[in-house]
Formats: sequence, structure tokens, C-alpha cells
Amino acid sequence: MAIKRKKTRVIPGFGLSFGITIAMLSLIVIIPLCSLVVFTAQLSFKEFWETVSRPRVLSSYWVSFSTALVASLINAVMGLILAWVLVRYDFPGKRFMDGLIELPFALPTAVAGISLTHMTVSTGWVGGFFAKFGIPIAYTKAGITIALVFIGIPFVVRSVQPVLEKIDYQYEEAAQILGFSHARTFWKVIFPEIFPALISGFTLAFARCLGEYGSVVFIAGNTPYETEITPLLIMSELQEYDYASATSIALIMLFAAFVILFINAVLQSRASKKIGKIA
Amino acid sequence: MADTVQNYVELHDINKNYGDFQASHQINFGIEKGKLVALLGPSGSGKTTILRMIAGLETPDSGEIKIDGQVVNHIPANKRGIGFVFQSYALFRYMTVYDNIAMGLQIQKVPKQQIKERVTELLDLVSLKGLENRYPNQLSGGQRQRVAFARAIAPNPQLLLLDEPFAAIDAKVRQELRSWLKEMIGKLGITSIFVTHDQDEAMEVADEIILTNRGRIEQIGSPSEIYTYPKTAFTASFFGQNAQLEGYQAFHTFGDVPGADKALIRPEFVKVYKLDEKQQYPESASIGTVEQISFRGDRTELQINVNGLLITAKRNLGESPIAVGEQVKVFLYRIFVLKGEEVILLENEAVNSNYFNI
Repeated sequence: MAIKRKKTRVIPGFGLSFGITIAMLSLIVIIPLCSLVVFTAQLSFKEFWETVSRPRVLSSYWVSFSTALVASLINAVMGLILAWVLVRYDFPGKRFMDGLIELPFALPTAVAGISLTHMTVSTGWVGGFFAKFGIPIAYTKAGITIALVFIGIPFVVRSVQPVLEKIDYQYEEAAQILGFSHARTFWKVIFPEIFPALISGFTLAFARCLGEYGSVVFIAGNTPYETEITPLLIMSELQEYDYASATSIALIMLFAAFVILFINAVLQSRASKKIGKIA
Repeated sequence: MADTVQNYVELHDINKNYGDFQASHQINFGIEKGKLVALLGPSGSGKTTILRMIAGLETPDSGEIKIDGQVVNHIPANKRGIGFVFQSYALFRYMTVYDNIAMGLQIQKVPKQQIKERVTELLDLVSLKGLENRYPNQLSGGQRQRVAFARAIAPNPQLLLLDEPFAAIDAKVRQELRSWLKEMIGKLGITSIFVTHDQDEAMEVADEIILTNRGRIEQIGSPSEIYTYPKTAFTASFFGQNAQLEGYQAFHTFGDVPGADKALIRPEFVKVYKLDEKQQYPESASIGTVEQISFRGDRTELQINVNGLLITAKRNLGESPIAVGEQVKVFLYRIFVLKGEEVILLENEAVNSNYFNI
């Protein structure tokens, strides 16, 4: 009913492309997610609630959320600095470094997990150094966080970079003439420009970290109540053929992902209202 | 000291290169206090570089910049007592109009109450009262420019610099803003320099024009002076709507300039008569054929072929119409003769002689 008005476009084919869009979304997103709900519906609400609120599950939420949050916060800061350096300065090897950012996207996560674990165990390069001070990294939450930082960094850099590139130097010059200090120029002029991108990079990284499995299982040690992440718990339920429990926990994660992305959307639209991107 | 006019801004032997590109070459000029000056030139002529060096956004390779008698080469931009209006205004998008204007004062640690008074006064001045809580994106182009202007003058600068202040505005509003800006600057009495590539804008707004070309200054003078008495070939050809032609001797009663290669004719130098119209100096008119007529609202513009030379002339609406293909009498009052870099103004000799044929 919404598509009553016929408007001629330069490139035709709205019907076809819209059909493909719906088919793709259904096949790879909506239908699998619905099956989650269907499987979970085998349980009564009481059973469902008991499954998802067992102490072991609860502590896995805590491990997952706390490490993902810390890792994403680290990423937000580090990713911003990385993007800044890549946009604002010229140095030999810049292109190479720029390409390196995407490596975590391309690398099989298990490879990342194994190499990070190898590095951070008490006999590894980095782990060995910290072991001298009695600080273990591998098989602790610190180890999980490191793996998640590795996984999440491209999200922040790739969100912030294009926005940073587009900021006109005239803003900074205007600030300079008005006598802004460097810090004030950054916080008052540049930071508001990149804030929406930073938030979106942060939430994407956060959502990705919550679901990360491959790289974390190697470095986490997977001690119940200590370093057991929620995706691992789902995996072990599946291995015990307890599909209903697995999907129940998965449903909680799905809900969490929705909440995170919703908060992101709200923050984005609030920021863009000021500059009138949404007319 | 009392009887000499002291220049408020002075540039001495300024040079600036970007790699191999010479943006400024031996720039020298002075600007009197309270004057409104245009830096005019085609794009790439180095006018913006000069403005940015005065502002402190660029550093000259050599030479001295003085503001109010003080060498400012090593004084940072914010200590030079200047206001700057950027081409795209560079209003802070995440601040309201109020905050944009107040920012410069807040940094100078002016008490809050005073800031409020000053901003209110400025909003009144630029007639944007009631819009102080808007964000820049919620304003029209002309309003944004006025905010940029208010922001620049908020800290009471002694010198106002404007980089292509009208470039981002559509033609109709631009006309209004020109007179508005001239009036505003006159009211404030603030020494101002603006950059433009538009000769009409420079002539209408400025007290004085500094014409730049390829990193050098071609000529400095009042608009009428620089328009009427160009000193270089570039100046003569930059202003007005010139037709350039070779062999100006084809037109009657002009003195001969040995070694001259070209002549420039502006439409206002040309008077066109129908064959049956009366004319003051019949001996010195040439016969031409009208090739093209374009209607320009208040006048028509004629392209006339005179012995193979194409010249442009204007005709007012009140005069009897001329058709394409019609033969007309063409009289030239004066021409600019170019000889290398030199330009010589030639008056038609008939005007000064005593032929009167009424």
C-alpha cells in the first residue's frame, strides 16, 4: 500500500531487488532466529527461567558482559588513537598499517586464539614477563579481554576513520583563531563530530565480543564460575543434546544484542538531530 | 607622527612558496585604519594565502607582517586581535548559535553576565534575535554567514578578515548581504580585508582594491581608479567585459602606438547608431554588421562584426531596436592599447577636436 505512487527511477528494478533483500534477510537472519524461539517454546516459562538463571549460567553472563565491556572500552580509546594516527599523519608504512587493521576480520578466530594463548601463557613472551610479578594472563578474565580487544579493534577504527577524514580543517582553524587550547579544540570541536561514529564502533565491537567464541575458548581456560563465557555454555549444552536449554540461553543473548543495538540507534539519532541529518 | 597616516596593517617583502609553487612573491602593501579592502584576483593568484598569513594561519617564508605597528610574524593567531570569517563559515555544528558567538569570550574568561550582554547585543546587531538556541544546520545560508560574522567580531577584534564571504550564498541573497556587510563594517569602523574573485563584488563593497595575479600584486587603488586607469595589461583585461582585438587601427581617429600588439574594448567604450540616426562624430565612425543580440533585461547586448573584428556593445531599451544582420555605425570613445605588460589609454581624437555636427 505504501508503494502506490509510481516514481520513475534511473535504475529500475525495485520489485526484484526488494524481493532479494527480503529473501536474504529471511533465510540468513529471521528464520534462524525464529527457530530459536520455536525450540525454546518446548519449555514452559518456569523451566525456561530455571535454565537461564542457574548460578553457572548467571556467572557466565557476568564473565561475558564484563570482559566484553572492558574490551570494548579499551577498543574505543585505542581505536580512536589508531584512527587518528592513520588519518592525521603521514609516515612510511601507513598503507601497510592501515591494511593490518583488518586482519582480525580475516583471520580465523581460532588461529588468533591459539597464538594469543601461546603468547600469554606463563612460558610465553608476554605471559612470562607478567608471571614474574605473579600476574597470570592466559586462563583468566584478563586473557579473555585481550582476545576480545583483538577481535573488536577493527570495528572502532573503521567506524571512526571515515568521519575523521571528512572533518574540515577550517573548524580547527576557527577554533585556533578564537584561542581554543588543543584540548578544548579536541573536546569541543572534533570529539562531537566523531562521537556518533565512536558509539557505533563501540557497540558493534561490544556486540561482537559478546558472541565471540573461537578465539576465547583457547585463552579462557573455561573454568566454570570463573572464566566460562556464555557462548561456550551454549556449546556444551548442545554437545549434551539439550537443545532446549541451549536455545534458551541463546535467546537471552539475542535479547541482549537487541538491547545493545537499540541503545546505539537511540544515541545515534540523538546526535544526528543536532546537525540535522534526519530531516 | 601626528600628521602622517599610519597604516594599520603592513606587509613588507612577503614571500611564500609551497614546494615549487610560488604563492606570494614580494608582496608589499599597507592598509589604513578603518578601511574596507578587497583582495581580488583569479583563483590561484595567491589572495587567500595573503589573508591567511595576516591571520597567522600560514607563516611567510620571508618578509614582515605588521599589525598596529607591531611585527606579528611570531605572534599566534589568537593574539593578533583579529576576527576571521571562513569561506564555509566553519560554525561549530554541535553548538547553538549562542554558544558559537559566546565561545571566543568564554575563552578570554569574560564574566558570564558580560558575555550574555555582548551576545544579546550582537544577535540584535545581526538581526538574529530569537534564534540563539538553534543549531547552525537549522539556519539558512545568509543567517549562517551572519552568525559567523557575529562570532568573529564578538571579542572586539581590531581587524576583520573574510575569506570569500559571499561564495557559499545564492545570487539573490548575496546582493543583499553585500550591502549589509558594507554597512555593518562601516558602522563598526573596523579595519577589514576580504578575499574575492568577483570583480563586481570588490568594486561594490571595497574602499580599496588590491589586485593579485600569479602570486604578485598587479595594482592597488580605489575601485574607480583601478577600473578606469589600469596600469598593467592584466588589470585592464581583468576588469569589465573586454573584447580583445588585433589591428585596432581599423577604427578611425586613434593615435598610433608603435609596437602595440593588442587592444581592449569594453562595451561602455562603444556607441552604436542605426544608419539613419544622428551622430556627433560621423567621420570617425565605422560600419559594422550585427551578428548576435542577447536580451539582458535592462539592456540588450550586441555582437558586432566590424571589418572582421568582433566587438561587444550595449544598447538601452529606450533606443530604437536593432535586428540581427542590420548594418550599424560604431563609434569608439576610447580603447586600451596593450604593449607587452604595459597598457595605454587612447581617447578618440575626434572627441577632443572641434567637429560638431548637430
